[in-house]
Amino acid sequence: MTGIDSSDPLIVRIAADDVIVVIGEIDLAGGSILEAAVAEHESERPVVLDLEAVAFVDSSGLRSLLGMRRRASERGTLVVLRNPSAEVLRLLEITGTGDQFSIESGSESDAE
Amino acid sequence: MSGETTSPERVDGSRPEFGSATGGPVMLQVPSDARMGRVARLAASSLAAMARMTIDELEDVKIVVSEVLAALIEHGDGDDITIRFDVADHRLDVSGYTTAIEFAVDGAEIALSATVLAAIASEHSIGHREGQLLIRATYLASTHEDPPASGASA
Repeated sequence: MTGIDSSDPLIVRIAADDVIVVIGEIDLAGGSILEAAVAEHESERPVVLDLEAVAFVDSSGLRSLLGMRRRASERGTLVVLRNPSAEVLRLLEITGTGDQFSIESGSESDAE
Repeated sequence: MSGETTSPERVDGSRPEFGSATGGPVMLQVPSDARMGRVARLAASSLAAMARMTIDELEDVKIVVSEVLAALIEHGDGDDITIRFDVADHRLDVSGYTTAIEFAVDGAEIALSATVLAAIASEHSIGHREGQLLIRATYLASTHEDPPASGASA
């Protein structure tokens, strides 16, 4: 995890099994922070983002997620959105971009 | 100073609309910096609360202002972004502008922002004229009622 700056809108933590836990707001500023953190952990494995604690997301944040999805696709893998918050789900629905990601709800991820 | 904290109510009991009788609009000028998103959202949600919107509506307003600000930062050339809020009962109008030498209004880069604004705001517009990029959005709360037509009351 990179150092936490109190002015950052987003905190990114790497949890067990390389799950990337995202806490805060994915906007223009937060999206850049998230992209940089994910880029440090890119591999052939799926990128798993735990979005349960995302309190806000806008289209600039969504573009960051879509960029991660594109890069993952180029590596032959995918991006998993685990436990997306209501805010995330709503934006995916509004923009019709939900099918770009693999989405795991709480019960699915708990079962693994 | 009387120390009274009464609501802005007229003698006849009616309430003036924010942005008119209270001396609005509210203007916010911020550096063209992505970190200003939280500042704009905080201001917008405070004003939406003044407009007597619900918690869910405050969340909508935060998305609207964030879309406006982010698009101006990403597509403008100015050092500063100016956002104007006009507040009325259950209604918030957001207008943001900055310098932009060139901008394709229908470009793919802003399509996602436009999609979100179209879904959440009651109306919106994105325009470029005389070197200025201007984005407007109006959010009407579910309980908003248009004022009576002029002449309907004495």
